[in-house]
Amino acid sequence: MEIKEIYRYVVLAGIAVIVVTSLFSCKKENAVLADYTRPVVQAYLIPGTIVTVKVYYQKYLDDTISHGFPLKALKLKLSDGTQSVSLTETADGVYQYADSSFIKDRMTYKLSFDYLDKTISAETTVPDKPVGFSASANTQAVPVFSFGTEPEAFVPVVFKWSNPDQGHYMMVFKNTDAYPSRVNSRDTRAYKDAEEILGQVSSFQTQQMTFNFLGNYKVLLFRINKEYSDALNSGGGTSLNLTNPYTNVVNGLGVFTAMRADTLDLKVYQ
Amino acid sequence: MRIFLLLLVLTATTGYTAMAQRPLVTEAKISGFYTLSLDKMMDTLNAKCPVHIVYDRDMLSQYDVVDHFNDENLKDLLAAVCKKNGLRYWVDADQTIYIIRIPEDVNRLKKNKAAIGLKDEGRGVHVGQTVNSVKDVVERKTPARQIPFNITGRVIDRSSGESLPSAHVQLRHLNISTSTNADGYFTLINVPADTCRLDINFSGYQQDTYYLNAENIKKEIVIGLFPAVRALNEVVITDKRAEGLMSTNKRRVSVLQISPSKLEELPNIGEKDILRSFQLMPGISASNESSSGAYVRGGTPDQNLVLFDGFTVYQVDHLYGFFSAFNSNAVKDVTMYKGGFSAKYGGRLSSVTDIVGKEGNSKETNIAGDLSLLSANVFVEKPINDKSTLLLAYRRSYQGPLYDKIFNKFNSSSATTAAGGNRPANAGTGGPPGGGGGGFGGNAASVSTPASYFYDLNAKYTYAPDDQNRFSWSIYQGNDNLDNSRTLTLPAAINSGRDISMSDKTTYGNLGSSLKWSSRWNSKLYSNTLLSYSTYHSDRDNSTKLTVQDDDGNDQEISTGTFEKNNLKDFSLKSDWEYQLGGQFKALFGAFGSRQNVSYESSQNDTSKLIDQHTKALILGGYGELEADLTTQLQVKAGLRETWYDQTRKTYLEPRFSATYAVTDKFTLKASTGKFYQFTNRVLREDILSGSRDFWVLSNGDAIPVSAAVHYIGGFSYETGQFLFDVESYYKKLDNLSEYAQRLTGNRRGGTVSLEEHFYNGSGYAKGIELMLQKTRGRYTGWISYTLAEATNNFAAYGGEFAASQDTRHEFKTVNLYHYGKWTFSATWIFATGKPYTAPLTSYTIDDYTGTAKTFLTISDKNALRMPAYHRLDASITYDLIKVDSRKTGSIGFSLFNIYNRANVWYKQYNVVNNQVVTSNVNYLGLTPNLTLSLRWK
Repeated sequence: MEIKEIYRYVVLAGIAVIVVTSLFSCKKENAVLADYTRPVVQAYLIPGTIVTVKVYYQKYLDDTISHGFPLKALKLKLSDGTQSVSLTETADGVYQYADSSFIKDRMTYKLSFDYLDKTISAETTVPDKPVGFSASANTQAVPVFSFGTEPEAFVPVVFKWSNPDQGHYMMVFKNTDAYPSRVNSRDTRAYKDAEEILGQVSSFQTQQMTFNFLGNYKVLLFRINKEYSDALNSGGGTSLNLTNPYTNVVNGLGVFTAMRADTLDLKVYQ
Repeated sequence: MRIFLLLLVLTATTGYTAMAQRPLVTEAKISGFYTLSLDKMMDTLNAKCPVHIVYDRDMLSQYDVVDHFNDENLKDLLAAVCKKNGLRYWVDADQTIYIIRIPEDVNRLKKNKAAIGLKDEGRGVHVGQTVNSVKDVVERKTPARQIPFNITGRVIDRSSGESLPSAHVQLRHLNISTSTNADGYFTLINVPADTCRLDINFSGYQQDTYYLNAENIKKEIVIGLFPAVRALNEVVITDKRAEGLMSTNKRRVSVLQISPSKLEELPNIGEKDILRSFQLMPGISASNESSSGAYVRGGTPDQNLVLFDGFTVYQVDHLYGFFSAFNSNAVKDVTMYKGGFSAKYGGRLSSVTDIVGKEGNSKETNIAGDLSLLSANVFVEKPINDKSTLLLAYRRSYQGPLYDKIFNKFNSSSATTAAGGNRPANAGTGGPPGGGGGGFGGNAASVSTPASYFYDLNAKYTYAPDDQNRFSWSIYQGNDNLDNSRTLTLPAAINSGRDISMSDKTTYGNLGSSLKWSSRWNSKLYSNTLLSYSTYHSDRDNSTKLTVQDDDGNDQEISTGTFEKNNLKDFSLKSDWEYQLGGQFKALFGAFGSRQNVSYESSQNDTSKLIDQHTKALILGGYGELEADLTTQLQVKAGLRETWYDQTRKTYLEPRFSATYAVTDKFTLKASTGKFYQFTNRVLREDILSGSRDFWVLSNGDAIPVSAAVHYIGGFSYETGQFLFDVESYYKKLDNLSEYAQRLTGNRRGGTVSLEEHFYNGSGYAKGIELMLQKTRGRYTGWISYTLAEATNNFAAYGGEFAASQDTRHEFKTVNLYHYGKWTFSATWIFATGKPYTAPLTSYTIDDYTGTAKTFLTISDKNALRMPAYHRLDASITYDLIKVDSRKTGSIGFSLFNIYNRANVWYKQYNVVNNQVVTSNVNYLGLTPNLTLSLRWK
């Protein structure tokens, strides 16, 4: 091939590249980078208890702290539509309103505060108290497990309630003993209340692994808002295709929700 | 003796009726006592025997012949003399015999012969001071016919009798040309004179010239091509149907063709890979090591229709996508249509890969085999009788170092991420499915792992009862059995010594079969009717099986985990017809019907089915296309395809149009456009590690709409003797695309798990330009290609426009081949902009009501970030095993993949460890050597 011809190719290629690059006009890369400034809100409103709202910073990915740093010196306001109250900071990033009668059934509450030129707000409504909460038994036997033997069958306790309007429910098992004894002596985990987000159901059946401790339990059936299970049960976070977690906080993250409970007693023995 | 046999074969080959015009004279015998130099000997042979021997006098004069011959057959004599002196001979298409030392000599001798021209009329030719040349024209006994007439013929492989589809046949110096159909037949209309010459081109074969005369035009012409010897400097892949100075087919837009026989020259990872080789061409993304599927012009692999002997293949790769599912030994021809394709094809948005399997040698039984670090491959072809042939090819991987390397790439990482699929970013807690059983402490549990493998099988039986009809039955089966299961045998104290088996098993594959009847009704009408069946299955079992004793002391098996099953059955009937309306027009038309049955099941703990879908669909349709040579320069193809789809009860019309305009001999403009619909989609799971990576679903017009695309393609090609410069640009508009996501909701402990499926719908577009400069001839061949592209999706669910996951802005590829004697050196370098991805930006932690801390990640916009650029260099050396008569019997190849061990990122992985989000890169293969040995019996 002659030099002239090579030159021709180069010119042709050059022209083509120029024409096409002009088609790919400079479009701004819309990579929305990290918005570290959105505060994280956590609040569970329950009638008859005082209002506690925690506000945190987000964490950087390589932070090793368990929770974000508390966001201090904010002016939080809580309104029930007619009355608006200010919350006081009782500890770093913990804002409270001490009047436990402020949260009432079926009322809608709006939280708002300003942070870095933005108003952060969230809204929730207190759901109805669960109706017709009953249990098939008020005691629960947990079979002894030991190596080499076949354990006895676990007979579950069945909890029922009425749920004609497809409400969302959560159940919490709270051991009320001062020093609860362990089901399995080899288990070294500290006692914790057990929480089960149940969804739109009207019954729950206990399982052996529900109970790691013996003694007297309060079984709390909460009617919750969907936002609670959406925010805390949200998936995403897989290794390849990630999605943002649900939040009902405008200009922020986390959850601001209300719930309403009914309680039964249960004695767990071995 | 073997040489003698080979010559006999050659004789037999050329004794084939229709090649009688150019007989190989092999009956010649010679007697006498000779003491002379070899060049003089050749002169003597040229003089005494009716053969044409071309040689280099300088070279041959060094050798002497001292022998006595008594009625010695010429072939034997030639073979003996050559062998003794370390020479070879090469029999050309016109039966000229070239005496050579290295294969390159053929070209040199040919050139010299041509340079000397047709001045002399003697029969013998040597390159030296006096030259006698072959007569380049066939003697004619009757005067030339001047009334235009039609000729029909067939192009075959001269040695095996295999028909050659899509070979390009052109009348020399005239703009009349055609391509052979699927059975190698062609018809040329309005041939002006019986003195014309036909130039025949087929990639991977030597260009041939066929001389028409008054006799041979009366019957069907059979043209046998010789496989190209590497040293003849054929290109490996061509952007046109055939290469060559005079006979290029510039009349197709966005078409690529590959010759499987040339694949071994390219660097490979374990296998000669058909689909991967296409990835070296512009417009087909090369930075997807984990997918042999074709990402064509911003499309996804499921938008590429893959046909094998007419039936659709749904699973095109092996071993997580690293190898294509087609055994190159069983493949005759592969054509890829990158866009704007004919109305004959449909049902896919982006492209078509049409693979034609070999029929098998109709002349002699042959056995061939390949052995590489990944797999063993056996291939048998056999003529059953003079009307039928059989071909069998089987390939199976073995768990050698290469297989394990790739397998572990997937499975070692799944140990840390498998659990991340369903729970928010707690992948760090992962482990073998089933949780390992840490509670068992230090007891001596033994673990055994089973084998994983893939295999594929091709079989084809062809029966040609007469010249008009051909029947063929083709079977393809390919399966992958990927097993990462473990069996834990527990000590007797625990669970009475029974086993806990943890399954992590994925099996997938295809079974396809087609029965084809092709018929030539007359020289103008040809039909091809195909009845086919194709199935695809993918099963994933990620579970723990535990045997326990119930109250009555009986053993009971309990399975926990996830099970997924995806099945697709496709039963199709189609009939394609071609009618030559005259010199300028050709009509293509046909009808098709297909019944598809797709099911997808996902279940938890062998009891609850989370998803259980079964869809049946019926697709019916027809098409018509007219190819017209409006002037000698302008050719247009206009077609219309109509499809009725029973799920939506709608009719879909797809107009197609393409045109080429030859401005000069060298410069051709081309353009095409068309509308395309897709009814069957393969949806990708969000997380490839937490289940099957993808599965097929049928559009239902509701959650999964019928997707649609419009292509606009324009470009030109400019070529000279050795170079081809090709430019194409495209714009594709895509509508009704679907993306899929699964979310597990509910609490596992509460037993109220439900799986939510989400289909997100949106639109998109892809645009780009492809430039390629290719050197098609010479010792050094290869090409440089550059693609500038953009693929954008627009899904409301993701907040509008975002870069599609397969979007690659710049892609630069260079392929270099250098032939020297029996050696071939090749090197390829690929550079591609990194793929877009979505990543976590920050994390935050909140406590639930009871005080359990839960950590969440905030995520960037969809695909807002880019991986680092992908690049790698591969190289290989191939040594050909060549016989005295220059036929290739095998090769030894050594290749190096990713020579400078570039760590190309496949994907990023995020684990929450001690409140910290740890980001790690999962990389593609590093430096990987491979050795391949191929052998043919004949």
